[in-house]
Amino acid sequence: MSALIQGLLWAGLAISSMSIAHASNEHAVALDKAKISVLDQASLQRGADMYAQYCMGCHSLKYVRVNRAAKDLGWTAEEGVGHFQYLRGGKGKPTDMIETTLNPVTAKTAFGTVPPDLSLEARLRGTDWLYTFLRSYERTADGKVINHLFSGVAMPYVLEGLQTSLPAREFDAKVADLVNFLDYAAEPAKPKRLMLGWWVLGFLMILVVLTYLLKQEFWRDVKTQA
Amino acid sequence: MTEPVNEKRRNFLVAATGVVGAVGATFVAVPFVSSWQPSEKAQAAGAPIDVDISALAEGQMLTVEWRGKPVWVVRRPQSALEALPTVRDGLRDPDSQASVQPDFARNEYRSLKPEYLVMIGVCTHLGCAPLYKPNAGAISADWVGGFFCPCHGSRFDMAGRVFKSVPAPTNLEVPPYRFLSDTQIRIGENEQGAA
Amino acid sequence: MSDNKSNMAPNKKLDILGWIDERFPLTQVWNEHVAQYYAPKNFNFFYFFGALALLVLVNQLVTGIWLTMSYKPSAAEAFNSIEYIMRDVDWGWLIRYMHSTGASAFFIVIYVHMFRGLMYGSYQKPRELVWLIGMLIFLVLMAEAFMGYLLPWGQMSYWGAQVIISLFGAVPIVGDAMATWIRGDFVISDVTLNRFFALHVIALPLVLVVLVYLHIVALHKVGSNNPDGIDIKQHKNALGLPKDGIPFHPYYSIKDMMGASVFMFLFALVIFYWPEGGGFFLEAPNFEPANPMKTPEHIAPVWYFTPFYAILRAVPDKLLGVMAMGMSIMFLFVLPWLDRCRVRSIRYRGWQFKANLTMFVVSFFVLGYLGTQPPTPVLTLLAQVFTFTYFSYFVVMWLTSPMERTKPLPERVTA
Repeated sequence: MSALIQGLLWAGLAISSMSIAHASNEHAVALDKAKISVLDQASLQRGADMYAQYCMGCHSLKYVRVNRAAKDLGWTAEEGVGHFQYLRGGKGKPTDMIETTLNPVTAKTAFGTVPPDLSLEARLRGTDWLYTFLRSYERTADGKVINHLFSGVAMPYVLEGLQTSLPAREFDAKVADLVNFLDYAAEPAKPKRLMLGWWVLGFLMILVVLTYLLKQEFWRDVKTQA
Repeated sequence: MTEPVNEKRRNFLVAATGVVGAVGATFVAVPFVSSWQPSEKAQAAGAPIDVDISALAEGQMLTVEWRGKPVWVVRRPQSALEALPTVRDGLRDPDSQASVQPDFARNEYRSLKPEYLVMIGVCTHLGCAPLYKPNAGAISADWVGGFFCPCHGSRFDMAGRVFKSVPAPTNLEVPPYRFLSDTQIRIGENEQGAA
Repeated sequence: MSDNKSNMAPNKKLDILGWIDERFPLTQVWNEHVAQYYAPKNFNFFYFFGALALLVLVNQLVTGIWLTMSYKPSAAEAFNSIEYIMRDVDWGWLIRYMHSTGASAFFIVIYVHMFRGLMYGSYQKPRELVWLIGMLIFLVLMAEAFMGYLLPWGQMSYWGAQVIISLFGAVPIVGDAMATWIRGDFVISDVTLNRFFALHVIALPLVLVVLVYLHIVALHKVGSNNPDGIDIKQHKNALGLPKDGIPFHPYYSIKDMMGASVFMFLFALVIFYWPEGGGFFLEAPNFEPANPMKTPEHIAPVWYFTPFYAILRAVPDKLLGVMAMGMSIMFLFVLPWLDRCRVRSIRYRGWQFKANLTMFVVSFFVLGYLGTQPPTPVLTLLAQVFTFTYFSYFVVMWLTSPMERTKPLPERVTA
């Protein structure tokens, strides 16, 4: 046991030595925390519809299959087609990937760049970044669009209508739903992972207790031998 | 000084840890075993397909691919349907007792609608692709029309039922399918759901 | 029939074990390395990590084999195939997280295991070969991890490999040719990915397994050290067994099972609730496919390489930087001959040893942190200071170890 404490002391020493080195570190724009959960299916459904309405026109989710996403969001495959093929009038197969309707060549001429696929954006940028980014657009007095987090961003102010018509709280909630859906899209196994983890940890806890008792029982030989 | 060893407690703990450990090992094995199942991509590739039969003329055959296998859709003329009972005595499994098909196709026509035959075009002998020979006398003098496997000479009638004394053991397989409309067939799914 | 019976030697075991033992020394090996391997009875917390390293190795081998079943080693398909594993393969995500978390766990376990050796003088005579083989394992493990890191073919995979392979360019005259030869192309490409895949899944694991076997054989020849650093073979009982030794099985086999259970609990905690490890186990830029046209803003190697990477960057000259990085590992190899004190354990050594080891650990962690950060003038200066203290460990060890004021060693191990 004393070695364990000793180990903790060494670890503490190590971490404090790292924080000394951390002293001279600069910070960029502070990100707002996205209070979301992939276990909130209603939020994911609202987020998916937000995506279909505002994002899918330009951004694909090429790693996300419609029927799989539908199942995880609590929809049937047919309902999934309806929601995710919103821009195609609900036409498409349940086994299709979520593609954009935008032609890449058109995109290049219109925006100067091809809008990226967003399948992994939540893991690449982080959900807090996305949540902050989508809420950082502003139209200045002279009519120019700026983004406080990402200066010179090629993406237009897509959510302008929503942001100007809704109270801030409702708008934030809608963006949070969208970010939540993107978090799901970046890791479709996440809901299952979060649910299963408790069972695995519970089982391992039992194993820890049993092996501890077993070890104590056998080591009585060693203790009495001395 | 030495305490006697409590053998009972010791044996119990060994057994308990052993059992829990074995259960744990089984749990760990599950993901590794399951990962060999067809992936979602493979399942998507094997998803039901929709076939448009509006242009299919009487006597014609249409071949489509489902799960990497050829599936035939044949629009049988009335004469072919009438010939089905006449060959019954020469068949090995006329009532499809030993053959693979959805329940709805365990009949003389081996189909949902007598006119349309939907069947997997793989010989039940060794997996060759039989030929569609609808005309009488095409293979031999007594041939009334049906399917003929060129590999080992297996013969099937116009309902895919196998004749006696050929190598193929059972009738040709019928996949699950349903009619979406009079001119649309979905292959790979019956009324109960996906295969 | 009855004639045959008379030909058989009397008392010969007819059970399966007896049958095998006549043809293969199964019982003998079991006794020598497990049931009658006498280990000091005073092992503490730090002695779990050898067995844990073995557990992680098995985890990496098994999950690695399974990943190979769905992974495609080509520039065009590698990234997609990882997403295929994460999304489409049944339980693929779990197997992948076990492997990616296992890589970091491997280094955590190995670093504690090595630190244990430094603390209790396990590298000293007669365990020099155990230490040397162990250091070889560490080297191969670093190569294994480096090559494995290219396989996901993300931005960090690509540019990390680009930077590290370019280091070979620092070698005078043949450097550039060597870097090109390693890549098999003028940049990191499909060819590089393919050969790294071959080395990562076949060649290096084989070498690792052989080295681990040699490590254990060498250890069992000389016997395990212990936190007191004294030899338990000095005091034997009437049967010739060390009085302070206990058979590995069942005592340490059971104790290690307990340690393994606790480890697996923590491991599962990371896999299910913290798989990115705060961006250290899975780095965010690696969720973007490799793009040879666009370097990420900040390239940092995976955390377990950062102390050595910081040393590399601390030296302003490319060739000297590479040499310093190499030396930082090479010095560890000769540690058994730099330490000239005959007392092994930190418990009985002088203040110089304790201060020196503390400084070494602090240097290692600070350098590890600095290696993750973009180089600013202040941080580079800091890295230079701690590179100096890192190397001073070896020099101070050599200078002070002969004249250390050590405490008297106990006759028998302490509890």
